[in-house]
Amino acid sequence: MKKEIVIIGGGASGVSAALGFVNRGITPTIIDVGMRTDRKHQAVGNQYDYRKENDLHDLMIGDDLEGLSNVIDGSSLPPKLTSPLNNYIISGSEVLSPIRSSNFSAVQSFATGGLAAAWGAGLYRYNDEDLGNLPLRSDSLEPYYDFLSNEIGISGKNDDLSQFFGENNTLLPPFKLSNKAEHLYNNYLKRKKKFNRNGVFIGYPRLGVLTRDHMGRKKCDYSNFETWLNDIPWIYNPTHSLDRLVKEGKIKYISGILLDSWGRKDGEIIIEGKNIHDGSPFRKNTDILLIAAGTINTTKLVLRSKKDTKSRLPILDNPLLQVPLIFPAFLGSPLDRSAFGMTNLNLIFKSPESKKTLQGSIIELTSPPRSLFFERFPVSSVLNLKMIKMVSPSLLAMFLYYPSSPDEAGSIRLTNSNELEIEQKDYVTERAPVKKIVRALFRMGAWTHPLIIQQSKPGYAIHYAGTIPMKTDTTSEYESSINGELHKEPGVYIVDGAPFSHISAKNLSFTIMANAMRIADNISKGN
Amino acid sequence: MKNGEAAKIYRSIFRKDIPDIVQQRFENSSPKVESAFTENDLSKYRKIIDRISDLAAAEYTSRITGTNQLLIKKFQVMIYLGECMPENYNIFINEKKGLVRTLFLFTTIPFNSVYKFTKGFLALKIKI
Ligand SMILES: Cc1cc2nc3c(=O)[nH]c(=O)nc-3n(C[C@H](O)[C@H](O)[C@H](O)COP(=O)(O)OP(=O)(O)OC[C@H]3O[C@@H](n4cnc5c(N)ncnc54)[C@H](O)[C@@H]3O)c2cc1C
Repeated sequence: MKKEIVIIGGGASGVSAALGFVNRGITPTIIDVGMRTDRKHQAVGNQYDYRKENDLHDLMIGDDLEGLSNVIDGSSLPPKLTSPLNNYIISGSEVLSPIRSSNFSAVQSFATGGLAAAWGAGLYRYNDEDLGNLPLRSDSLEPYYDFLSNEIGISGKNDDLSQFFGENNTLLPPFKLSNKAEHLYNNYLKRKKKFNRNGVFIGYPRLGVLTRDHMGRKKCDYSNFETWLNDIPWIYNPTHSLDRLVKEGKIKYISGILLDSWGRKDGEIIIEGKNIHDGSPFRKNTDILLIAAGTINTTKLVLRSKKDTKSRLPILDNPLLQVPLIFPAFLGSPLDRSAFGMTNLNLIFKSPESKKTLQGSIIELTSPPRSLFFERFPVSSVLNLKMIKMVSPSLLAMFLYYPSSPDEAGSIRLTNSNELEIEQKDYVTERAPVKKIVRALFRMGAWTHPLIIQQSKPGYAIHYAGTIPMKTDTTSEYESSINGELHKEPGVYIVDGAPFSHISAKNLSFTIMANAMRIADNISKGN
Repeated sequence: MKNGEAAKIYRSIFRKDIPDIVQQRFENSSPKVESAFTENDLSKYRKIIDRISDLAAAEYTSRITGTNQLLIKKFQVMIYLGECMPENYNIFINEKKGLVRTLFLFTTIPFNSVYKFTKGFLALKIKI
C-alpha cells in the first residue's frame, strides 16, 4: 500500500492502530501533542522503607503543589494524576482544550501514551453481551485482543470470572493478593455456590501489569510506588510500544502539534493545526486519516472540521459507585507494606433479576498518600490521624461500575469560542444489586453500608465513549461505519472510544485498542 | 514554642513544634490556597487563628457544620505537608498489631467528638 496514513494521537488507541499497520508492513505517521516529562525520581525499594528516611515533598506535593490540587481546587482527580511526577499527563489541557461543564468532571490528556500513562491497566475482553447493540461481534476482535495481550503482558488467572472475561491461555501468573484480598477471596471460595446463586462472582483481575519480565520490561516489585512514580516498567503504557516502533523505524512520530481540523483539496485530506511551542501553523496532506485523540478531543476535531457549534452529540461514561470495604478482622493490624497497591480482585454481579451486569474493581489502598484518608472519618483531626494509622490498614475500596447506553448519555457541544461544553444529569443507579453485593461481601468478611457508598460525579470513571456511534448503515454525519469510517468522509476513520455507543461495566480501553487495531488491519487489507 | 498560623495549626494536629521546612512550605502554599476565598473569608480565618486556642475543635465544628472552608483546607494542607516528613512516619503508619488500642480508640470517638464539637462551637460563637 503506497498511501500516506496519518494517525492523530499517541494514546492507547492511536498506538494500537499503528500496530495494526506495522503488522502489515505499512509505516503510518502519528501526530500528537505528546507531552513528556524529564522529571524522573530515583526512589527505590519499598515506599515504606523509603519514607522512613526521606522527605516526600518532591514525590507527594511538588513545587507547584500538584499533590494538593484536589484540596486546593476541590477537584476529584485520581491520586495518580495529582502526583507531581505524573501530573504532566493532564497538564496543559485546560489551555489546549478548555471544557465548560457544571457537573461532568472531564479528564483529558495531551501526553504521549495519553490517559493510559496513568491508568489502572484493567484490560478486559468484551463478549457479545458487552458489545450490546453495536454492529460488532467479539470474534472479530479476538485476534487483536490476542496480539495486544502479548504486546502488553496481561496477568490474571482462568477462574470464576473466565465466563465473563473469556478463557485465556496467554495470561501471565496472577498477582500475590494482599492479606485482606486473600481473606475475602478465601471466604468467597468456601461458599461460592451460594454467592453465585445470588449473582456474585469473584476472581482475579486481568491487568496490564507484569508478574514476569516481558518484552524487556521488569516485573512488579510490590514496592507500593504505583501512585507516585512515572513510567513504571511493569505497568503497560502505550509509550512503551510507541518508543519501540519509532526506534525500529516502523512508524514516524511527530509531536508538539495540536491538530484542529481537516479539510479536502483535490481528493486529498489536509490536516491543520499548530505547533504548541511556537504557535506556528502546521499543515499536512494525507490519503487516510485515523482520529485517535481520545473520545473528547476526537469529537472536538470532528465538530471543528464541520464548523458545527449547534449539534449536541451524546457522550457516555460508566456510572460509578465508590464502596469502602472495612475488614473487622484486620482492625489495628500493621499496614500491608508489600501488598500490590492496585486492583487485587474483580467482582461481577450478574443476576436474572437485574437487567444490568455490574463490575467491581476491589482496590488495595496501600499506595496513595495516607493523607487521602484524612477527613474521610467524621472525627476531630487528632483522632483522624489515629484512624489513619490504626483503621486505614483494614480498608479496601471497590469501584463498582455500571454499564451505560444512549438513554443515559450526556451531551457534548462545541461553543463559538472553541470550547467544549459537556452536560450530564446525575446518574440514576439501580440500588437493588448493591444491597445484594453488600450482603455477600459481609459474608466474605468485608463490612460496608449503603450510607457510606458514594456515587461519583459523572465523568469520574474516565471511560468516555459514544459521541460518534458505530452503525451498520450510517445516515448522519456524526456516525461511523463498522470499519470506523465517518459518514460521507471517505478516508477519515474514528478509532478510539467515540464509536462505542454502548459501554458495558467492564473497563473499555482494551476493546478500544483491539478495535483500533482491527480497523487499521482492515484498511491495510484494502477492505 | 513557635507561634503564628502555621505553627498553631501544626501543633493542634501533630502536638509538637513545626519543623522550619514545613512552616516555609505551608507559607508558600498560602497564596494558592487562599486565592479562591473572599476578603471576608480571610479576615474571619485570621480571627479564628488569633483568637481560638483549640484550633482542632474549631476545625472539627466547621467540618461538621460546613462552615469556615478556609480553615478546613488549611488543615488538609498541613496534614499532607506533615506526612512528607520522615519524623512523622509513626504517626501515619502502623507497624505493630494494635487491636486493643483500636477498640479503645473507637470507645473514645463519641466522647471526643461531642467534647470537641461543643468546644469548637462555643469558641466560634463567642470569640468570632
Ligand atoms: C487514573 C486512570 C485510570 C484508568 N484505569 C483504566 C483501567 O483500569 N482500564 C481501562 O480500560 N481504562 C482505564 N482508564 C481509561 C483509559 O486510560 C482511557 O480509556 C484510554 O487511555 C483512552 O485512550 P485513547 O488513546 O483513546 O485516548 P487518550 O488516552 O485521551 O489519548 C489521546 C491522545 O491524543 C492526543 N491528542 C488529543 N487531541 C489531540 C489533538 N487535537 N492534536 C494532536 N494530538 C491530540 C493526546 O496527546 C494523546 O496522546 C483510566 C484512566 C485514568 C486517568
